Amino acid sequence: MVVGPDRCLQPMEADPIAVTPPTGPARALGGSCWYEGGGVMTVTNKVRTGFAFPLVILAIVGAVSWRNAVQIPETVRWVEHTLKVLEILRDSTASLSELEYATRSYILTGERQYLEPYRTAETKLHQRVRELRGLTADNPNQQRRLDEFAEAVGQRIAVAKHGIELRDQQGLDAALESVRSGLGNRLGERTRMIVRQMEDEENQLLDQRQRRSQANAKAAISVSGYGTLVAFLFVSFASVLIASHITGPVGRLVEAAEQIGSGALDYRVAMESQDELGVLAKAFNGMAARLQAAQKELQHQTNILESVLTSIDDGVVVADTAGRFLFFNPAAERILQMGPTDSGPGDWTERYGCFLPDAKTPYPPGDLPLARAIRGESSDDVEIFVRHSGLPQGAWLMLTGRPLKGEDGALRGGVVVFNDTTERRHAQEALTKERNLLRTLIDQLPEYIFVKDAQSGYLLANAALMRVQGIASPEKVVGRNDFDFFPNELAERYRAGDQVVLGSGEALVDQEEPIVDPAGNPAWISTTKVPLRDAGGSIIGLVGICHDITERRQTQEMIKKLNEDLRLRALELETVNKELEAFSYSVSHDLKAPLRHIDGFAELLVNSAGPILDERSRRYLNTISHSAKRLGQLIDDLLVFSRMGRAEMRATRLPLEQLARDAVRELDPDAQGRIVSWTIGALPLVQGDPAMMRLVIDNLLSNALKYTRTRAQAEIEIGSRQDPSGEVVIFVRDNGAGFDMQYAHKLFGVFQRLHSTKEFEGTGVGLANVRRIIHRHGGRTWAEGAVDGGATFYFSLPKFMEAA
Amino acid sequence: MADLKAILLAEDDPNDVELTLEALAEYNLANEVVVVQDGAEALDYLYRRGQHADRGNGNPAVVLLDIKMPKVDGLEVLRTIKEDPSLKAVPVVILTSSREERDLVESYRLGVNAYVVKPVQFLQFVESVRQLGQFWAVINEPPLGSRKPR
Repeated sequence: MVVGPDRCLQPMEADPIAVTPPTGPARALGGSCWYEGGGVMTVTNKVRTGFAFPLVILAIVGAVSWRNAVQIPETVRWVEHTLKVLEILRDSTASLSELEYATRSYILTGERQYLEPYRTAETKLHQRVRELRGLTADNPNQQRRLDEFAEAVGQRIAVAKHGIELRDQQGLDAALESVRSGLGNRLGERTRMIVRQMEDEENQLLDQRQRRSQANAKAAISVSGYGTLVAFLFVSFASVLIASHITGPVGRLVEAAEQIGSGALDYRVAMESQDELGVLAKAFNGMAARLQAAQKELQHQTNILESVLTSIDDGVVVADTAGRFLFFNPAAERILQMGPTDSGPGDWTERYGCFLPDAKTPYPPGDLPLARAIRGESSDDVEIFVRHSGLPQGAWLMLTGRPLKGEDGALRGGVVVFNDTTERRHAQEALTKERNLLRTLIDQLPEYIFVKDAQSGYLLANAALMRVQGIASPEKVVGRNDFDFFPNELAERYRAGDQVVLGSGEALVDQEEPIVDPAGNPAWISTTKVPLRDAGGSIIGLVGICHDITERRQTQEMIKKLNEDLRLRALELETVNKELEAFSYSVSHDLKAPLRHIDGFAELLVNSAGPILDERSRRYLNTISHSAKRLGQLIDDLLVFSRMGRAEMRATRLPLEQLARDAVRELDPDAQGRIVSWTIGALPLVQGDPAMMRLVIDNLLSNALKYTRTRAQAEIEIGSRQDPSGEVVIFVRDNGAGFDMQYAHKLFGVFQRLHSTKEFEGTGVGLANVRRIIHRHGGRTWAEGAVDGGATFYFSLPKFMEAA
Repeated sequence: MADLKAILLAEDDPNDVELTLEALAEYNLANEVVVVQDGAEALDYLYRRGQHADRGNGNPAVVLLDIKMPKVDGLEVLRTIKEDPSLKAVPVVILTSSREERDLVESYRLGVNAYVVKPVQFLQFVESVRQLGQFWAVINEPPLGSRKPR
């Protein structure tokens, strides 16, 4: 591989799934291109350097040989050239001779036949001169000689021509004469001499070239010989050098690969060079580090897995297909109270004491989850009861078995995971017991109790409700709704209530609803519904309780009816009252007017006719007047009495003691001239109509004052006592005339008097008023006394009237 | 006589009228006492219409009203007087034998100047009327030397 600055090795990227970061040189070099070819003697450079020199030498050898090879044809060409020149020169000499011969022949003979060769020779000569000029163009010496040659030839031809002309024109003699002049010979000689010079020149050149060619060939032989030798030496040297720089490190790499291959993952190649082998070594070290990290991680994970399996509470047992235990965690040992066994699957049931859920029948060995798992079958939530001598109480296990397969899908064995459910089972039993208890409890209650889901479907109904629904077993209620049990009208009503609770999340309290009782009679219930929430607070249903309020409703309805009756009665009473009022109004106006007139006119009569009337007549008139007044008083008292029965009561807090003191003060004028001892005891605060109660106190105290008139010293006491029944009892006691207890019942009747008007004046309405007022306040009146033994008048007020 | 304003007595019962007039006379009241038989006539007098159309000018010094009267009762007359700005200033006394509270309350609500329950006893009655007459007809507007000599 050629490695240059433009193609540097990239550092190894961290494996994305590697758990630990790769360490070692590869990582330490970071992300930059760490191999810089420029300043480093790379292996490539070493090799290049090692072979470059011999190559240069060989190139030189080649060049030299090539040049020699190229020069050989050149030399040959030049030799041929020279030979050609020599040939033409010889040819020219021949042509010259022919020309001379033809000229002489003609001159001598005058025969025209000789003119032909002459012309041929002349033409040839000219041609030869041209050829030579071309061939010797490269040689100035020859050109110069050629010029002389051409001149000489020209002159010779001119002489010949002249001789021919002379012969033709002047005859033989003239022509001979000219020949005898020797000019032609001299010219011919000269020409031949030039030709010889040129031949010499060419021969000399030929010789030179041949010599040079030989020298070159000799040099070429030595260059290629020595050069090859030097090249061979260099190549040998370079081979040794390269071997030492490459094979050494490669050997170390091989060693490292073998080491790591044999498991020594911490083995590293020590190579500091920065050439390709250094890179390779670093990459190798990086790979080894990553391998080591990966192996470490694998080991780590294995450790984790193992510690998890060792520490979890679930029992985990792994076996191979033959039923040999491969793994048996401590929890498994603890739960089973027994460790792994060497015996095969067929003996597991006996060895570990496995039973079917009835806790009696031994578990079929082939059905055990692990036995199935190693056959490639899965099993879920298998319940097994385990009991053996090491586990005398037995334990309930819940197991899950799975086959274990290799990556190739081949069955390798099986695993079973299990836990001890004994406690849970006990808890469940306890829960069931509790549930039964609860069920019994709610079934005993007369109230209707139910639980519904978020869709108003029943989840539970107690016995009382089931009787109404007409179902016998609690299971039958589940999933059904009110429409299954009640008329639509009722079911819709219940559903609406459910929706309010489910929608708002707020309880519906004491909702009164109609229902049909088990006998089919209309009844009333008061329902309370409360939303049920899950751990997250979402509403998942509701729980309801209803109690029968039919009786209460009936009572309420009766009360309502009674109230209505009462209202009608009150209305009637009001009408009567109004009539009474109108009556008393008219009594007040019209009944009293005549009395007033009787009295008035009797008085007028006394005034006007007084002097003429005798004593008896005046007495009559006085009696008329007196009777009228008395009747007027009676009417007024009766009207008051009537008003006391009708007047609206305004109850407020009343200090009786203050009331009594005020009454005593106002009675003071009537006590003038008498000795009266007033005793006012502690009187409670009561609740009542102020005007009415004042009338009561006034009446009783004024009565006491009136009926003690005959006593030298009157003793009048007003006091109170708390009755055991809670009533407040007020009494007014005097030491006056008293009364006969035989007639005590008459004391409080209207117009009932136990004394004559002559003895004690009065209309007999006062005590009737007292009784009426006290009755209206919810109390009682009574009296005790004896003739001349004083009297005590009592009245009571109910406790709630007392202001707390 | 013409200087003194009249006293208007509205009373349907002739006995009461007589007793009242007697009582007023007892105390030498100089005022003329005009007696009308019912509330309607009282209003006729006050508004100078019907049989009283040609009476002299001026409101009475005081109006004594019985409550129970035919046609228009005393409380109605009282209401009319107190609602009419031109009559509002005339003192009105309810003279009645009724002690009924509702009459009393209603009278004061309507703006009565005095409410007197006619005592059965003549002397008391005389005294009441005397006080009324003197208070409203004489003391309020003492007509010196105008008293009718006995």
